[in-house]
Amino acid sequence: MTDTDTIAARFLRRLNIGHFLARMGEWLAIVLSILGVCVLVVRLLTPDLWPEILWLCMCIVPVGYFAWRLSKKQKFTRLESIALFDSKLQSGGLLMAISECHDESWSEYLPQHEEEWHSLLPRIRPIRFLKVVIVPLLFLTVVCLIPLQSHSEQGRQTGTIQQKTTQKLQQMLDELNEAHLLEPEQTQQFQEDINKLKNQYTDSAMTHERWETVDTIEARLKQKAEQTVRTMRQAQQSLKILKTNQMPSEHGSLQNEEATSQIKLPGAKKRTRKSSVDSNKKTKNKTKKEKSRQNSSENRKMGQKLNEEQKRQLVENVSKALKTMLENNSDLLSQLSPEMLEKIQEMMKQNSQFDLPDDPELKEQLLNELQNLMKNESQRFQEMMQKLQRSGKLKELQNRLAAGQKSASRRSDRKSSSRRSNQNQSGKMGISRGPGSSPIDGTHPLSKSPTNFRDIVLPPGFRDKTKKETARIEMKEPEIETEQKTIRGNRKIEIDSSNLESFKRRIRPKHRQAVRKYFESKKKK
Amino acid sequence: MTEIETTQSGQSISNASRENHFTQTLLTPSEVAEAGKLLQKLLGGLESAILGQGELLEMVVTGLLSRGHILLEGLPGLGKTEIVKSLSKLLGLEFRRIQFTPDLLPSDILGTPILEDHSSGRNLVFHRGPIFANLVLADEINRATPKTQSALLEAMSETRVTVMGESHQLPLPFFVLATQNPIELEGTYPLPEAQLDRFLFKVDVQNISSETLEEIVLTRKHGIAPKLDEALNHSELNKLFDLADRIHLPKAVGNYIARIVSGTHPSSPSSSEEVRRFVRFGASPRAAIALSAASRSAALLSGKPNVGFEEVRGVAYCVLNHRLLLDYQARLEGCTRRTVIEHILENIPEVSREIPPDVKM
Repeated sequence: MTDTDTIAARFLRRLNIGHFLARMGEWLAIVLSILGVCVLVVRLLTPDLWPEILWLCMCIVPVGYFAWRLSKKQKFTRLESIALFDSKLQSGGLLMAISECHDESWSEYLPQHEEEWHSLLPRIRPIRFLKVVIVPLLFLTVVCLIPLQSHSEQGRQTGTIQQKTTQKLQQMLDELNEAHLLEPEQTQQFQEDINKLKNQYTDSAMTHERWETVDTIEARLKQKAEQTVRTMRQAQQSLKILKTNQMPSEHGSLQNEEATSQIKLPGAKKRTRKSSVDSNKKTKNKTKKEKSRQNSSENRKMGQKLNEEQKRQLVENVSKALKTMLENNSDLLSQLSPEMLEKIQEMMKQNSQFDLPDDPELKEQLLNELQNLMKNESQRFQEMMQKLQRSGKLKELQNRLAAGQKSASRRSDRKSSSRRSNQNQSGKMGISRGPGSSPIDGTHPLSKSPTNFRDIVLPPGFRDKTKKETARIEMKEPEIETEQKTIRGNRKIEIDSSNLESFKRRIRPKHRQAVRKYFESKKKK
Repeated sequence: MTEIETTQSGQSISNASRENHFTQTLLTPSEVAEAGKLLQKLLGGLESAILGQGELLEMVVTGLLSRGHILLEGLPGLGKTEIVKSLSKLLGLEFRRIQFTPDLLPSDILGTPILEDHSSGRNLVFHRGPIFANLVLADEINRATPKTQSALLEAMSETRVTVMGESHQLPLPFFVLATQNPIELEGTYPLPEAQLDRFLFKVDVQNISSETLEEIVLTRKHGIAPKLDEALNHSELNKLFDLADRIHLPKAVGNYIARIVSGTHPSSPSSSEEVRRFVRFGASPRAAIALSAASRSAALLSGKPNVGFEEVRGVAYCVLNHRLLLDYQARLEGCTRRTVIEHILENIPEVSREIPPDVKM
């Protein structure tokens, strides 16, 4: 005898599972459709949110929970389940009557064996569930496979290029810091500039101005490094000379010539400052060989011993290099032996500057140690310089992206000259934007954050310098403003429809260069 | 001694059956088998008298078991009167026929008090009318005036008659089988809704087939039915009544009955579009009671201890036919009560909830 209550309970359980699947299928279809739409929007319009948008799929869990709660509230009752079972069995209500009255006298009219009951029990086949869910699921899958749009890719590419360039700059700065080539203040300044670059230009394309900024920072970093390396080389040469205690030969290496030329520099430098304008003209005409001959005229003899002044100069070079290196790396002197270190510290206390000891043994020892130190540091600097040279890949990136973008003039002079050339053209506002991709919005380009650009491009302190010294006095022709000067020949006075006089000057192309050159030279003065 | 009480429908039930009405025990198979035999005997007798009207006879017997009154509507000569006569013979019940005419008075039906002279003096003695019988045939009930028709109201509902302030109980069992002609409606008085509602069934008597006609012609002389013997005595009839009351009505079936009756109302949210368009007034709660009683009788007739959904569907038309008031729109579009009831039965599922689609039987 089968237990109808047990069978009825099983049937009820399966009905409730089916009901839950029905609710879950509907809700899941809605949620998947909404997810698909969201992913589609993200893929097409806001690719930055990809793939974080996929975390929204976690909302399927609470949806499942709510569907279960809802199905529990609307679950089938025992009576309903028995009625359904009875109607499917076509027992004419007998199953209902027996379950309600608990009268077993009519049980023989129902299936007797458990296998029969099991065969009559329904099976859970989530076909409708799959049918309802499959389409939104496919939609979501297809939408996830849609390639990201080109403008978004370009934006990402631009963002990536931005990141790469700033990364490169940051890398360079970090390498220079590691090599102790920069002072802390300089490092901070460079870091601020790089951070400005990162923050200000994150969402827009790289224009020629921005590339100039990047180039300037890079050039300044390299310049600092080269400066330090140069100082290091000088110190090395000076140490070498001090060690041998004699001047190097005429036909020595270029480095020697540099060193000897540096010795003469203190005197020679002053002269060049005074006659900067004239000497610029003269030195352009002279070759390097003539220069070295002039500078080494006093030291033509081989093996000549150093005089006091020369020694002082050499020691100054070494002192300068040590000072620079100490500013960048305070632990530099720890590479020296403790004895030497003590000596140097005593010397600094007594004389407040670096000087060679009188004791020849000590002197030689110190020179050796300093030479080793300089050698190690210079090797390190060489490696650093090689790395920096390699990091010139920034240029490559720029060139690669310059498709459609032509880099405009990097000097403001070109801009101003082109601006001048366009002054006579109407409708241009006297502005030449060049072939760059700057947005045209009717405002003066220099009015847009000019301070940032000038701060980054111009060397620090440049704007602060006020040259009030008189370079020279010379006789020149008086300056005549072109506006007041009457131009022969092509002047035309036209009265247009608005009754205004307008002067049209036509400068021939071959004369434009002359005019431009004139004004350029005038500005330089 | 069993106490006899009257129910709302005016029928008496014993205490024992009343207890059984509320107990949750099913009829035993033997009881059902015995009831089936008796009913088959009754039906057999009826079928021998009335040829070719099997469904009609079942409905009549069902109505009888439900202790309700039946309204038979059909063309003349289809055997409506003969059914009632045969029934009375088979059941051994007292039978009276009342031919309703326009000049019929209520007193002609109920009876009148008559002043009689006795040795002691003059007294008003109530002389019972023809309604004081077990089976009353109200022939062409729609021909009588509403005043006369209303005289039946109390009798049908409460099985008693009040004349001159004096109530007189009618004999039990008491059945009214009324007939009416669907044609020749000139000069007739259609029954009011209140009185129609008191009939358990309204059965349409259909024409018989040619085969049945042939059989009648060949086997009956002058159409006279064969003599019928008593098939059921009074006690057996009472027993059948008790058994019918003990038929179990499952809750799901009761819910089905309630939804069917609710579905006949155009204002109900569960009603269909056709009901809203064509039905003016739906069935009353009395229809639901009638439906449940008739379903029980149908189940007993089918040899089942319980009511099933098919029994409800089987008697739904007869129960609801005369209780729906259709709109003029139905008349214009040719929509009949049968169409509306069939539509209701199609649209209302047996169980209020369906098996989920992911569950396959």
